[in-house]
Amino acid sequence: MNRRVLAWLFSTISSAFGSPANSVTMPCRNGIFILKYCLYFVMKNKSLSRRTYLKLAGTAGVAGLSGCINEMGGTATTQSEEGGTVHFLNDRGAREVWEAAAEEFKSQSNYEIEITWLPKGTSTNEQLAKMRAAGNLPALIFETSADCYSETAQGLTEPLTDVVEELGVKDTVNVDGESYMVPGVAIPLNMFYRTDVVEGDPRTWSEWQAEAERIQGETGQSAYVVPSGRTNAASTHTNQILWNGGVDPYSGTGDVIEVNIDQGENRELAIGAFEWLQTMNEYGPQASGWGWGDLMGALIQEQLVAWAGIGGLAIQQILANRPELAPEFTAAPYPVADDQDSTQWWSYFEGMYSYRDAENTEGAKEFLTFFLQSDYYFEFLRGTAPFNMPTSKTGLRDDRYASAEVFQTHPEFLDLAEDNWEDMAPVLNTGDNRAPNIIAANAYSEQVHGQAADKLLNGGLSPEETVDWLAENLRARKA
Amino acid sequence: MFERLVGGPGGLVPNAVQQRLSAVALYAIGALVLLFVLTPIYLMVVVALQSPQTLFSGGELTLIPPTLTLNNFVTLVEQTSTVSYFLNSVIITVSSVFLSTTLAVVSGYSLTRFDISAKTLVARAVLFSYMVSPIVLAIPLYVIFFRLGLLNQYVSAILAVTAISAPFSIWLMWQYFQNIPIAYEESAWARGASRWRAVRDVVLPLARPGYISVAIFSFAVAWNDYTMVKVVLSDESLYPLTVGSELIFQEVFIGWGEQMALLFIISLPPFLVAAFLQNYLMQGFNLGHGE
Amino acid sequence: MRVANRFGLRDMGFDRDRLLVIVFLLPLIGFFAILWLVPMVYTVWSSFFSDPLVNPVFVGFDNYIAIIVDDQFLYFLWNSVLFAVSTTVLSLVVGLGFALVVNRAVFGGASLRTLMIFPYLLPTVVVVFLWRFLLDQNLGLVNRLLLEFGLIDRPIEFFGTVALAMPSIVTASVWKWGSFAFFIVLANLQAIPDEYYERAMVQGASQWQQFRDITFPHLRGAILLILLVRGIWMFNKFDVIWLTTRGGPASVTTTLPIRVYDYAIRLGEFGMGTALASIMFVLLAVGGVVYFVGLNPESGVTK
Repeated sequence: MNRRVLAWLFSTISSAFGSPANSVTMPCRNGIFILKYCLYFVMKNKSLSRRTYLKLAGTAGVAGLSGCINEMGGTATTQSEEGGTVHFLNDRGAREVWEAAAEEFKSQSNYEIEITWLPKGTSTNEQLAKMRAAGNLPALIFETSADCYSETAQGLTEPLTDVVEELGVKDTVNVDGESYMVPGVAIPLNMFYRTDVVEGDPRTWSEWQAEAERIQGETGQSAYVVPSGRTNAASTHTNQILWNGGVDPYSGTGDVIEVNIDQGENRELAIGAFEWLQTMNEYGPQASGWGWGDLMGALIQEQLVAWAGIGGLAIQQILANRPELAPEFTAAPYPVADDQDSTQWWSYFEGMYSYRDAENTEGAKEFLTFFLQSDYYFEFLRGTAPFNMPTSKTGLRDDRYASAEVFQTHPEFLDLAEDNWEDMAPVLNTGDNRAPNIIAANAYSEQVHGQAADKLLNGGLSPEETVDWLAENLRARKA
Repeated sequence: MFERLVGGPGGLVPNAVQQRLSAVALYAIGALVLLFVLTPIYLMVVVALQSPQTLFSGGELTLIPPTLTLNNFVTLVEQTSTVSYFLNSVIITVSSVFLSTTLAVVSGYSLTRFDISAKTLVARAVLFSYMVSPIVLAIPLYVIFFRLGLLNQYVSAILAVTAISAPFSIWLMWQYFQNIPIAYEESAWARGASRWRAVRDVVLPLARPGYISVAIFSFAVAWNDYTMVKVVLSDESLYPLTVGSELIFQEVFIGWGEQMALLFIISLPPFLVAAFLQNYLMQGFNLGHGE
Repeated sequence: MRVANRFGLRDMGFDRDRLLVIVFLLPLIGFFAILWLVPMVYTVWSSFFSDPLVNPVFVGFDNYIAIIVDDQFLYFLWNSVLFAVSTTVLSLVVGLGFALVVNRAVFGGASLRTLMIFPYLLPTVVVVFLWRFLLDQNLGLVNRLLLEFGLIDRPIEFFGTVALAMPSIVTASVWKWGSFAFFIVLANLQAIPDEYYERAMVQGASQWQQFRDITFPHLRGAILLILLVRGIWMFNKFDVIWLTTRGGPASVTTTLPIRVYDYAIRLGEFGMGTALASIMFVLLAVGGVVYFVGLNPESGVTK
């Protein structure tokens, strides 16, 4: 008995490694076999009346058969040969809009889009790991440009050049002349503050420092917060401040990137930036480990009256939790060092890409072309404006987006984006001439900049030491 | 130990004092634990029932709201899939509890009453199965379900969740049945009852606190489950509350009030189960000593 | 004849009831055994490869060695043990204490029991959310009270402060899992017949003696069981820590399950993840064996 059972067990396991083939039916057949074998064994060792054996065998047979029927009646997710199903892993909101778009697409195409909805965060990675193990890769996935780049570097993604060209969207993942991602949303950073508390319209570092000092003295509130730690909030903030301090951290392209943050003039500017952060930290709450939610909470609770972060998200949360405060808020560019110009504007670019080994990638491309030109796409964006922005300049001014309610009271979000469109880039595109920069992307995914801020503010490092720490850790992130 | 101090007659601390001390200590503990348990619950309720106007007025959380509103719940029901997620949770949980409890009672009984070889080993192996981290189990499990074509069905979710609660449930019932002497059944048999009737009329009532505990445990596992469900289900219309609530929390129009209202909805069946079943835990005490 | 059918007398004879039961149980137990066994084998198998999901390359014990020699491995192991032990012990204390109270309570017993069982039935997501809200540095009640009573002058960020992060997680865990201990202990307490206590009182035994000689022996098995089961479960606990601190700040709350997740999902190193999971299994298994051999929680009840 043991050998048979072991053999069956091993065959099931090895089929889990191997190709799908006919392994769908194998466990089913073997299940019935095992049941009958056990009964046979029982019958041999105990005197069982023939009637009882037949009764039991019948039960076993029915049980096994019903298991098989169940498996055959399973959903089409297992058999992608049944032509035309495009699996799409999506972690965005406005589900009804996407589903409606998929419905309409079905009526005009041979392909059918099947969307798996996942929460944001690492759920997509988890789902991908499972699907990859099962040999069931999705044809379409909504993720960040950094993820797309690292998978492209491993040769896993499908080129989408023609789609990107046709749609005229920002080309954020370009490797060896081919485009691999169709960006769906742009999420820029901005300064977000209360006009009823903050006076003048501070734009430079010294202006903000003065305001922060004044406000803290008068009302005890904070006009600035320096997030630190292993969070996205901390990493984006630190990055942008360094840029706005005139630091040019990288040179090179692809994975041949030089880290220049501790060289020559850059070093002085970077030290200056960290010094400014140290000063501003005095005026704000201790924000080690604060994520977007915590920062939002501080704004809601009015402890914070100005925030360098994602203004689009903040205004949404204010509208949901403190609607009476919403009119007082306005958006502005990130603070810039007194003698510098801001030339790089951190914007998340997240979008859709496809896996080479998935089924029906042609259908995926068709859907992308259809969707980004449809009303559905703009409805999706409009629902979360100004957090999500279109990924082309024409899209920005498209009335289907600009008509969102929030732009009636807060047009500055749109104006900022339009005026600085060229400067908007994801952290990935910070090599020469916006070429991909894998070190920056890896550093971001490991929150190196956020950790640097933590070392500076809580870890006892001086600004000079922080710059050196940062440079060392960036260099360690080569691919 | 401590005989001289707290022994019976003749000990240094008289029994009357001991009784009073233990009463005081117990009530103090009771009060502390009560406060500990109640505070988060109170917060949840008080935030769920307020609108944005009153919730953070003045920049601070309002603890005693001037007005209550059901707006948050209305938003959830009308603008999100809360109802669908709730129904899915109920379907999966009720089925799993039923399955797990039945399995535990039958297995537990069999393990004590029938002579199955190596049963101690089997029972212990059951506990060892909990020693593997579920994070890595999720991936091969997905592959298995995928190959068997069992993805995206209620049955699979129910079985997957029961697989988690079953081992410990079986163990619990096995322990519990061991405490019920076979003498009770023997006397029933001596009076001519069949095994089945003896079980139904004598053993099961005695075992009630045991299988109620098992029911509570498997309810907790099923209602709470996130990992197994995520392995098996990728169709959003089948998501239970644990997975679906993440999607709802992401929506931009959901503020603190709505989030707490969602938590309230998720907490309601557990509360009802606790309120309803705790009584049976008490009843078992009486029945156990009727003979 | 029915009476003669009970076990012990008819080893080689057939027992119809028994077979019916076995046939009913077998498919289900078989299915569950597969659900547990196959992934476990797959997990161990994967741990010997470098990239088992995409491009498997056999590397023998390399993954294991890499994990063990990593200078932070012992630190993470310590965190795991600390978390598991403190949560389990404190849960037991809270559950046991309150069960003793409820067992005695003359009135309000029903609502007390309801209240105490309730947190255990809540999903971890809910528990985490409530406690994050309670301990929030901006909106939380705890900080507000501490500030109002002048005990601190700046809000404390509980989950973000190195010294307080683990205690905060343990508190939230005990809030939920104390009830598990509670209802297991209570069920066992209620099974102790009143007569024992009455007889003891008549014989002049004191409170302490009664607890020591009647209550505690009946609870011993339950307590040991709770310690073992909860200990194992807490050692493998992932969601509570992940949802509150993600293993931070500065890795003070990073336990081995968090590392497994990091390896398997975040870094895409499934081989390393499964190797670590296997190491954890071995540690727990050894602990389990020692536990059974040393403490023998089933003594007196094995039949």
